[in-house]
Amino acid sequence: MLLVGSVYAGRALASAVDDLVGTKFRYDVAHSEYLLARSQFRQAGTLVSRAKAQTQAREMLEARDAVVVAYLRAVRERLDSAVGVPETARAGFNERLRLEISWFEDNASKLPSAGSLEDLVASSDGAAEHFFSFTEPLVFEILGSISIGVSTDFRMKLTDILGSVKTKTAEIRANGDHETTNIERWTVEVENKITRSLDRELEAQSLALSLSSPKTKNKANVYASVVDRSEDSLSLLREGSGFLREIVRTMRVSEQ
Amino acid sequence: MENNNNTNQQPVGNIQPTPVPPEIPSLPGRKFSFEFLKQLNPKQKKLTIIGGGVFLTSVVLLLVAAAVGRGGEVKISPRPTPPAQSFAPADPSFNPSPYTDDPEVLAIESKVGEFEQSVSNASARLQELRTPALDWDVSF
Repeated sequence: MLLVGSVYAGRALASAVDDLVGTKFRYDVAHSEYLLARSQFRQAGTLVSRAKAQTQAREMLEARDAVVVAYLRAVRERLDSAVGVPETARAGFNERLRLEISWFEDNASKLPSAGSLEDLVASSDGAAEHFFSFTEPLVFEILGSISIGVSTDFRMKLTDILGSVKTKTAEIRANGDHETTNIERWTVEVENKITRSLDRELEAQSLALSLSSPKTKNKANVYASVVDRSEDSLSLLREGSGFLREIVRTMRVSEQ
Repeated sequence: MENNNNTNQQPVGNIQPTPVPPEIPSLPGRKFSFEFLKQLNPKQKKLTIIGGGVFLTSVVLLLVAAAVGRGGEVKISPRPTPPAQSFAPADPSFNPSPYTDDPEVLAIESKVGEFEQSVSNASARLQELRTPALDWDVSF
């Protein structure tokens, strides 16, 4: 059931990313035509060139809103397939994504009623302000949570395996038929790696929280730091799994 | 006139001529010769050589293909192999512990293997969802 869900989520994400690529391509074409029409209007300044520029600008803005909507849908699909993201946070992100998608769909539907170039410019400025104030920070928050979730998920798995190792080690020690000193030493090493991994994860979470604050200016850099901390956390878990392999080897081989 | 007639007559008297075996014409196809090439003009000769080369190459390729095809059908009788072990089964220094084949230890080993594989492929970087580059500065 989990596998079927995972496959479905993977296909839905791939479909959303394909849709995003196609929408972006249509935007790029509309943007090129807008730039050309604007250039002709600036040079000629005629009513015909103005009308043409207005048409091309409106089409470009519609295409831009469509790209944002497609992008937010792809982010939503990625969030659906993410692991390690708390359900409460996931539900909150989904609701905020729904509102953002709705905002840009609504904005696109109003564009045909713009009566002049000035109206289109005002509409574009409003969309830009909304995007950089609400949409982009939300996306960074979500992507940061997904990155942290990857580390969280692996840390929980490693902790679970370590629990099994500790139980077996206690059993071996009680039997007294096999040396457990090295096993216990490696177990402490794995615990240290998990603790340090958790520290990195908490640092990443703290940075991710600042993404939602309006005081945080360069959100792209903060998001990059969140990803870096999550990667550090994952690296420590990889090192921990190396010690686990050594523990298993020590259990299966007699040192005498 | 008499002399002329005598020249065409068979020799007479005691002298017996050595019997000459009749000349047997060579049968075509019995002995391959490149003599026929001399009768061709240079263009025909070139075409003949190229055609022959292509034919010979095709034959060689067909033979190789047939040999490879036969090779694929060779069936090797399966040999009994020892059960797979996770590490150093042939290592002379390998000294099994009482827990070498313990089911719980093997289960832990399996979990560790799966974990290592998945964590080594994992990444916290979401490359596929970079913010698309859009023009937000519209002006005229």
